[in-house]
Amino acid sequence: MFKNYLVTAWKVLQRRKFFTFISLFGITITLTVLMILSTVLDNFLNPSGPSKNSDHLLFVDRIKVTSKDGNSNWTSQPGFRFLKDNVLKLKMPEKFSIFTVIEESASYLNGDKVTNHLRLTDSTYWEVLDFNFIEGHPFNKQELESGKKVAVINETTRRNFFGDANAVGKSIEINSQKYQVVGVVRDVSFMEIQAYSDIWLPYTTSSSTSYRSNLIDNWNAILYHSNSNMIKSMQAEYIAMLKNDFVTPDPEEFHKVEGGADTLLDIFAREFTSSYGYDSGAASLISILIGLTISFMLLPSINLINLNISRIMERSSEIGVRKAFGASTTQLVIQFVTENIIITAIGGILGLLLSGLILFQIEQSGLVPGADFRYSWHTFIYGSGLIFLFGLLSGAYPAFKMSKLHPVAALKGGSN
Amino acid sequence: MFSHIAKLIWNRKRSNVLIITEIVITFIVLFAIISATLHNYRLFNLPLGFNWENTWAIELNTGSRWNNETDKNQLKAIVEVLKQRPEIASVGLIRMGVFVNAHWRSSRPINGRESIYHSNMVDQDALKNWGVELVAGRWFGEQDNGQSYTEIVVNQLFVDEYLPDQDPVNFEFGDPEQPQILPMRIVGVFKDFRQQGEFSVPGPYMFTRYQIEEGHTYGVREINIKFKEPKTAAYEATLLKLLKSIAPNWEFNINSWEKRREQQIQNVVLPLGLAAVVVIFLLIMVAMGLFGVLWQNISRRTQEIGLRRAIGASERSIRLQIIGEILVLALFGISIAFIFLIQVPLLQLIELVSWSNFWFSLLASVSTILLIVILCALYPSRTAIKMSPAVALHYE
Repeated sequence: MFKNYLVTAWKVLQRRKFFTFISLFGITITLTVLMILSTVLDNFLNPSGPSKNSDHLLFVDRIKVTSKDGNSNWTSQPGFRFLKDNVLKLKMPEKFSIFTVIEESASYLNGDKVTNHLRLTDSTYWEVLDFNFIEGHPFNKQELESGKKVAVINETTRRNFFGDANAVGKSIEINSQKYQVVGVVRDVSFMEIQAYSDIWLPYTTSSSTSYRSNLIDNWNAILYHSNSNMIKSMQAEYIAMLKNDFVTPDPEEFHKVEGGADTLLDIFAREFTSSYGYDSGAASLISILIGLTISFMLLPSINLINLNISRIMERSSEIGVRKAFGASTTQLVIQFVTENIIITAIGGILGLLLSGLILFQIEQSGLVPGADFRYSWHTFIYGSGLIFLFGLLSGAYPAFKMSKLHPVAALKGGSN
Repeated sequence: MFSHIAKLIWNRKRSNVLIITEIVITFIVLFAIISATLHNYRLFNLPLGFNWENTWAIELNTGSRWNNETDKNQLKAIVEVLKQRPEIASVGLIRMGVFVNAHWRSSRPINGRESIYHSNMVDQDALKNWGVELVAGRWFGEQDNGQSYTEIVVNQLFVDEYLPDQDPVNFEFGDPEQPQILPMRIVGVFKDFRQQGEFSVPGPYMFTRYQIEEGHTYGVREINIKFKEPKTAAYEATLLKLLKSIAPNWEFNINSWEKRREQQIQNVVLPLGLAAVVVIFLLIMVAMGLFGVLWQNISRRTQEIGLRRAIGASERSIRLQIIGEILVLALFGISIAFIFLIQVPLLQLIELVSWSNFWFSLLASVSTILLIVILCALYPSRTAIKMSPAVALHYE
């Protein structure tokens, strides 16, 4: 039976090519836009680079600080002191890493300015994140503690400074200081906000030590557990720590700290819904995203509904015959909705190709440094979901109207 | 004629409701993108109030807490050295740099009314050197040292907003909640200084004077140097070396104003451009959809049109009927959308939609929609006219 539907759908598509083109155009454009957005989001949530084991990781990326009188509060990245005093004393995580967010630093090569992104990290950073070293190795705990001026750079930086030659052992000038390159890693996508950088240095090489006393600053932490089922309990432990035994050197200004140890989904939800309290807003995020998707589909759906309804007449004799031979309304509705979903699927495949092309162009344009958008099996799930939703939205009402045609009128050629 | 068309539409209300809904949504989407573009375009064309050519910003990162003794001397030494370089026309200190999205909002009552403004801090010659135009009074200077007031300059909008009927020069206002703080005295009025760049909304703005000597707990964050002629990256490297030799414990980041401005423009234009591309595709889709629907409907109404032709309706009146029908539908949809949209400026839901912006965007969207609708109806109406009455009546 399904095969029959397929054959009919195919015949209908070929019947009036111009109308088929209009339908497919609308479907393709709509699904292209949505597929680009969902692929970008998927690449953020399910990274394929150094943070690919993100289901073992939690990130302390934002804290909301309230003063004792409650008059002032601000949200920022945590500082070194906050992380050292509070986060590193958590019991559950097996590994911790603390590091700064990226900063710009300029280097001057043969009269040209090269802007690099720079990150200060500890040595466990290289254990919790899985970098792909093409040369050398990361800096170790000893080098960190002795404040040795060593650097890990990415492929692009190696090309900028040394051409195609090997870089390990050579020195590189960063912020007017010489560092020795110990490792070269593959470029990391900008979408992996905790891993991305051009140059990584041990944080002990910083020219001042003032960062050690800051509660809020530009630091981040990663908590790691080898068992991804422990993530939930680690989050609970972090919040319990904030609520019950948060240590502060300045109880007036830094009276209360809210926030969470976040998964990538939580980080996105916080930014998207501006919820910086204990709750990241991830639960409401999904319904918000579905709502936005449906509202974006609204106009294309109505357009397609209009087209489908006005095409009913094409099918009137077919409907009349089927009704006369006893097909039920439900059967007809199912048939027409299926047909519509098949058309939508064709538009969806075109949309997938088109969005791949556009994402490739974005990668080539260098707008997002190191971008490497990939389709994963998630893309196909999202894509099928979108196709199904869109096919249903735009197909249900016309199918209902079609199935209501009176058989006699339908056989005669139909009426309004 | 009109009532006849209205009746025809009413008779086919089911399918027309969908077309009207489509027009309503399209209209709202179109209106949104046009008014956002218009708003930004207008802002972009307002005068910036200063010149950004050949100027670089040296962002300071002094690391630890500002140490009055050592850091003050270090900053002074840097400014002195820079001022003596022949290629540098001027050196200016500012707290929040230009083309940066940082701002500092303050408020204080003036004549019993709470005033809200953006506040910033520069050294005494900076504004003059950047080409800011003085409208009344003078810039602050040495004569303000040790007086019983804090010298400030404000922009014309500040005066228009809070001191409309008064001579602003030498006007003083204090903070009643903190009487121990010196009152502020307006020594001069300048035209404008849109620190946050071309896409920022102009508003009341105030500068206080920065003196390295006074040793504020919060220092300046930027040294801005204006060159006599354009400079290259190679020069930037020597400049950075020079700075590092004076202050090895500070971090410097050099950025030209031009580059910052470009970045800022890109940040606004890129998302707007992407949205516009999506909207254009939506419009094409809607136009083709409407065209298809109209075409299909006309071919379905063969009998009706044939009958009209048989009893002597002219080609013109048939065409008028077809186009008239869709126009009435479109206008109906537009009116519904209008009822929603008028709430935006009425209730001031979104600040950026001013009345003039609203009417212009409305006009632009109405004409675009009507144009699309008429174009979509032209071809189907021609098919309708070409139909021979005899054939049309034989249909079935």
